[in-house]
Amino acid sequence: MSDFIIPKGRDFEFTIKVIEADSFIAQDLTNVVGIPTLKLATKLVPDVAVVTVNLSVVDAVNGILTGTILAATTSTLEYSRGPIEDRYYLKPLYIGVVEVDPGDVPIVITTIEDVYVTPTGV
Amino acid sequence: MAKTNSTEVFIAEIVADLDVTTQYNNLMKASVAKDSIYIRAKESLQSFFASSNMSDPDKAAILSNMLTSMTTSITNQAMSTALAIAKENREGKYAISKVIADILVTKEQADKLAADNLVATANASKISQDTTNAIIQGWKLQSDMVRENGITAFPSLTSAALPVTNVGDRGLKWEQEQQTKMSVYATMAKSYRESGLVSWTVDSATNKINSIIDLLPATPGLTHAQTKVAIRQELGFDDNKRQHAANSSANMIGLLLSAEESGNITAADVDLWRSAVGYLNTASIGA
Repeated sequence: MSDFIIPKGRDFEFTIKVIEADSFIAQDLTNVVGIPTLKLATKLVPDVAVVTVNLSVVDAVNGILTGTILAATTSTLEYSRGPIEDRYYLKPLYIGVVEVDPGDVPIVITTIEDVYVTPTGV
Repeated sequence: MAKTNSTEVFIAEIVADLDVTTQYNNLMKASVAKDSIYIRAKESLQSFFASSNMSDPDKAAILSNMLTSMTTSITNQAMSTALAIAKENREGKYAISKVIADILVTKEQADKLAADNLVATANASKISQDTTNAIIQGWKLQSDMVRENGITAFPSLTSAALPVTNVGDRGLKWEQEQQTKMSVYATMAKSYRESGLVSWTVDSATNKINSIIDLLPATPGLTHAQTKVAIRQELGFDDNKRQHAANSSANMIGLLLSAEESGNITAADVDLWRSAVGYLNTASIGA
């Protein structure tokens, strides 16, 4: 899985693939119920969502979701970097939670352990 | 058609040098990346230092020891791993190619085994046919034994030595033997009739007949009689010629006398007649 890096101050369009529990097989989202969401929270206070984004099913059979975090929202996210001797590496300050109800199986909740925010000069 | 020889051609290929540097740089970047153990350990230590009452020299000593240990370990491990990866990258494709070739060889061997099975099945059929042929050959052999050699099947032939009771005066060979004997008799009789009773001697050195002796000149045989006839015929031809000469001379002398021309008869004419008649009266009787 590639790193989830949000560009600060810019629109961020992303795709997420949902897989079945304890498997590598894609979750079929043909009969999805409600609207899937991605919630971001800080690692310091993971219980409080600071961003909630609605997701769209673009490929139900292969479990592909897509969503967009608008620039107005990405501007509010914070970033942190390491010292110069460590080449200013990015530190993950947020955690993501994807929630989707496939309809014919229990609700799937997937976490994105490390969510990075990178400065873009905006 | 099944292959009878390999169509593979060996092509020499220049193998590039090991590219260790690229692998080493990638491993080193990953080893000190933002989510690496190195960063985590360093952050953990810094967090610990922030909440402790340790002196700065102690903190520096701990940090320097840790960084030295980690960097040395990471560098050595990255180098050895990079070398292994680079070597595998260079040689792995050949190893896989060899595995693929080995698989092809195994398949070819399986095909050969299948072909061998077909041959074995064909051989089994051939053996069965050969057995049938052998039985028929046995029949022919027994038939030949009866027809040609006069051997009977009873009593049974159970030993290598042929029982005398199985051999009878019959069969093609026996008939040919009788015919040959008769031919000898005929030859001997014909020889006696033609040449009379003779004996011969054999040269012990050459084993060939070197003399033939007429034992009974009084019964010389047909050849001797024919010889005498031929001699007599030759004499008869000569007598006939002289007889013609005598007749012609007598006729000439008789014609001259009847024509009263005796004066033309010379002494030489009379001598010719006398010579011919005299020869007939002496030579013919003498022969």
